[in-house]
Amino acid sequence: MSSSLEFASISRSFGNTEVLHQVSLTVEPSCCVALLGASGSGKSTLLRIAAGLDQSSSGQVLVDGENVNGVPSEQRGIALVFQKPLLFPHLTVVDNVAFSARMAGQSRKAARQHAMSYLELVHLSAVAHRSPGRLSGGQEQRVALARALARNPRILLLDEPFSSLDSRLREDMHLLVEDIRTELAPTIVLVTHDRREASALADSIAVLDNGRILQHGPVAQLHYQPATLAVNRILGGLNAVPGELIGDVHHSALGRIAVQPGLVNGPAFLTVRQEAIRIVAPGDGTATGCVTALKSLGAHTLVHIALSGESGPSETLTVEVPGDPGVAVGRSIGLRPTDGCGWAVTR
Amino acid sequence: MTSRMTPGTGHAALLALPAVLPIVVVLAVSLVAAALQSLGLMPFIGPPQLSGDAWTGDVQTLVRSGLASVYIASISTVLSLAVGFVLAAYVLTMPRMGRLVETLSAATIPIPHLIGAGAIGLLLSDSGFLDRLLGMPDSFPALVAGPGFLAVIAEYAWKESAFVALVVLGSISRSVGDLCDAAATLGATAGQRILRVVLPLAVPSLAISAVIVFVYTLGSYEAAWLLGPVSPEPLPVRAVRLFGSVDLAARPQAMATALVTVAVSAVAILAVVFLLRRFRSLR
Repeated sequence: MSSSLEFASISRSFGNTEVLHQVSLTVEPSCCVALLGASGSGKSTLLRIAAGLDQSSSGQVLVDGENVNGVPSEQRGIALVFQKPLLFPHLTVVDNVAFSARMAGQSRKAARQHAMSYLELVHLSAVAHRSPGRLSGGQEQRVALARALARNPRILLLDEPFSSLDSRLREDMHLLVEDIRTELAPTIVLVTHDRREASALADSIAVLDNGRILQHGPVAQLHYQPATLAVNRILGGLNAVPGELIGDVHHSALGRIAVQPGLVNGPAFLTVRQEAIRIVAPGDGTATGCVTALKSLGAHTLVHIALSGESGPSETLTVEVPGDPGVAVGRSIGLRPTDGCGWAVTR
Repeated sequence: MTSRMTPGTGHAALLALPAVLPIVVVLAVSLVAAALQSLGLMPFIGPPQLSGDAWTGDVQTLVRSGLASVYIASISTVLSLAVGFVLAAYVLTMPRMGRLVETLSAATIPIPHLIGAGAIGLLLSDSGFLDRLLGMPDSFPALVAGPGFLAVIAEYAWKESAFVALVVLGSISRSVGDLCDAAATLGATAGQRILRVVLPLAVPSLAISAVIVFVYTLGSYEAAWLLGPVSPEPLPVRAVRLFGSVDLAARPQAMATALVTVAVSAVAILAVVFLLRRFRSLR
């Protein structure tokens, strides 16, 4: 049932405003790609174009290599789960899930039997005959997911379907998506602005900003090897230390850190993740600094540090440590990247 | 379960009182006065004397008037609902042309029925615009003042279908677009989306519109008077004629005729309320 999905140079303009600019992206069969970006970055528009609910200004949508531009939404075999569950209020839960089978001409009995198997998949067969108005938010999204899956889609599009759920329900939904991937292996495109959700669910992440794909790659690569400062920021990176690149070594207030080869010598930013820096005794690290603030994240703490340059404090750095960092504001500390090397970007 | 009013509901009832009180007073006074007049207990002249003559004296004519009115109201309501729903569905599915249709529908609403009836008369009468357009054939049907009240029904269907369309649009236009998108991604064709999504969602607003159109066309006077045949007289035409008669003894009959209109309207309203409650309990 899984198919490949390819966006080939998709652009979309509303009047003079270009929402998508030459977007190209390939999703392999049975893979899950997350489109990550802020509100207004164009990710939902891209999904609507894939589903046939919106037309691109230029470019092609290819399913298994076949151009589906101009094919009506109902004939594309692509299901979309929206941010809101959008359950039909005049139908019961089971009839919502049976909707696609009924539209395909199946009898009510056969469609309901088909729907029940998908309700069991999302653990909601007990509420099959309830009205959607009597479900909780999490249950509604589960039904919406079951309804989309019951269509047996070639591709499943998820448009921030869990964004309105609380964190516990969201984690339950993530487990459910994992179960569905194991059982049905659908091709999934997930739109989200939550980098943790993208990282938890997707095989790869495509970062979309102002209608352009900045980078597409595996989850770890985007976190630790961002292509640009914007990707680093969108992926939650808090550090971009300015400095000078000389022979694959970045020179900055954080010290001399080896970076990836192939970059041209000159000004560059060192993107070192806050989780990848260790606080050590002054003198034991590649740099020293003074703690300026502590911010609790619950189980973790963010330590803000003013790095000591040759002429006093120059740059600030943030380090994330589990539990109590064991340092106080004003204390002098040493800093060292955990793996001894970093990642430099020039823009 | 408790029937006690909370402070909140009491406060809300007080706020509603200025709006509700005049309606209740006017309705109650007029209904009681009409009932008393129809039974001879509030005569225009002479002493009060209980009599059922206004109700039983010419019962056949009263029944014929009632049937004519129910016929006009029923056919007009069905046509208004059908045309109104099609208009609403068109506006929802065709955003550009739909806006024009919506504007035209909205422009139809404030035209008085008297003007509308005059326009329909000019359009559909013998030697009217349509007749002339067709070359004045001998077989042109008697649409105005002919049997079947066709011109009356046409006037009501034209005006009220615009009203129905706007009520339906107002009640579902915000939610139906997203639900139709969801239906499309689930394989529903355009026709299926209208029949399986838009129509069920529009049922409550169609039912409310239906009862409003039915009650209005049942009690409306101008179109039936201008465009209908002399006989049978619809209830409102009969009521107005008897009320304005030089024979003051006809007043009780006018009141009885008006009260029959009220009774039929009440039955229609209660039936729709009952059906709507059943529909909602099924959902």
